[in-house]
Amino acid sequence: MPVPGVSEVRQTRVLARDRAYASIRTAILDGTIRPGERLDDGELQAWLGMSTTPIRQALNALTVEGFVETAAQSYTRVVEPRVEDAVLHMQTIGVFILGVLDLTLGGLTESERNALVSDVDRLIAKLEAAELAEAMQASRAFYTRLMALCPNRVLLRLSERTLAARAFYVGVAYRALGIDWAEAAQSYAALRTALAAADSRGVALAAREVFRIDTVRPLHEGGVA
Amino acid sequence: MPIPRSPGQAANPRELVRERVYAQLREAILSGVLLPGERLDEGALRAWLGVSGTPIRQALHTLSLEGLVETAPQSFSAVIAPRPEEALDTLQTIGVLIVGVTILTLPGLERADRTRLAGLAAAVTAEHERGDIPAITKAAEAYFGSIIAACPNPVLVEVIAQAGPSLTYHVNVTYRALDADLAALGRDYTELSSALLADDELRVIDLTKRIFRIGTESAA
Repeated sequence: MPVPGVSEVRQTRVLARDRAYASIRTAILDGTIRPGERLDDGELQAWLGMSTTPIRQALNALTVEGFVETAAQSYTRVVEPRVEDAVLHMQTIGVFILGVLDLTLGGLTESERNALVSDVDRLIAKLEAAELAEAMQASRAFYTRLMALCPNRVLLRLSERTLAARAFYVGVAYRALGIDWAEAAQSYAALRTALAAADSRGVALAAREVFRIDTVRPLHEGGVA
Repeated sequence: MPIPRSPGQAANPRELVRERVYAQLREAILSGVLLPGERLDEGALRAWLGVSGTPIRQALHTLSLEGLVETAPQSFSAVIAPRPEEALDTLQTIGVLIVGVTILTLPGLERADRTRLAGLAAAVTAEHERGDIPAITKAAEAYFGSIIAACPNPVLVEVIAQAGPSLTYHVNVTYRALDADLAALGRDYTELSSALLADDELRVIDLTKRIFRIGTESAA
């Protein structure tokens, strides 16, 4: 399932560590640096043309964010998503989305709701056609619109800090796992129906299904949607 | 909100120093030794902590990522100054995380766990009746901490470990702006306790949302 990852925009004068952070993060997201790849201090210095201190600070930030981890022998590497853990990251994204839905749906105008429903319609069509790139794009459009409508700025800021690395994790695991298109389309169809009917309880239940927040199935038998 | 500690990754002496400086600064902020908005002068911190500037800057950077410190390029760092107008948004955000934990955790609980949680929720009501804010906070943290400790999703628990301290700090500092109705909150925790004993999942979730003022219409 494609998920929202809203990127941060920095406006202030850019420090070396912020440049290092942005460059490494982009390289991880676009696959230039691969999942599991070791991040060598010397290579990063040569690539970025800066000293080790800002690079370490950038790696520290990326570690806190969840893109990078320190291995046992204390070298640093890009996280290597494990298929069996992807559902944990998926659920974590879902917890934020459930919150956004709770805080947003009640205050929507008719036209805002219709726009969200149209977004979900497009997403369902792409899922039914099994078009990965377009489904990802349609999903991003839906979640971006939803989050833009959310009145809670604190929750949005935390989502921006937290969800990009979870979405990266889930995305990588997906490519390894393959997607059950019919099931994904079905979950979103339930969400669409409840959304169009302004049924918040129904939307929440459908969103729990989309993000594998099940009350019945044990976690590890879940797989990803 | 209760604060599970992030797993430290300290391996060599330099990292140990960084970890210690980070822990000391964090504790000083959370306990109020350093005040909200207080400027963090590197020289003063070096003298206080007895270390060089590098681990201090690293610790301040980590604390800024966690939202406890504000830093501006070419400028000084300061303890975050929570804004009263964001008190409700912050409370709701904690609620979103706690609701998520509750949804994920409840189905796996044994009867004995639910009874224990019900007891902790009832203890929150008892403190509301006494009206002592720090005691209420402590009792509420004991309840929510127990649910988080039982949560089967370690990724969500780690997110809470990172974001929790800053969110809780905001709410604690700006608590008055929330204008909380203590009597109503006390009743909510009583109902929460009953819903836990009755294993009524939907009711537990609705009450948790109401406690954190998330969409009150569903908790009729």
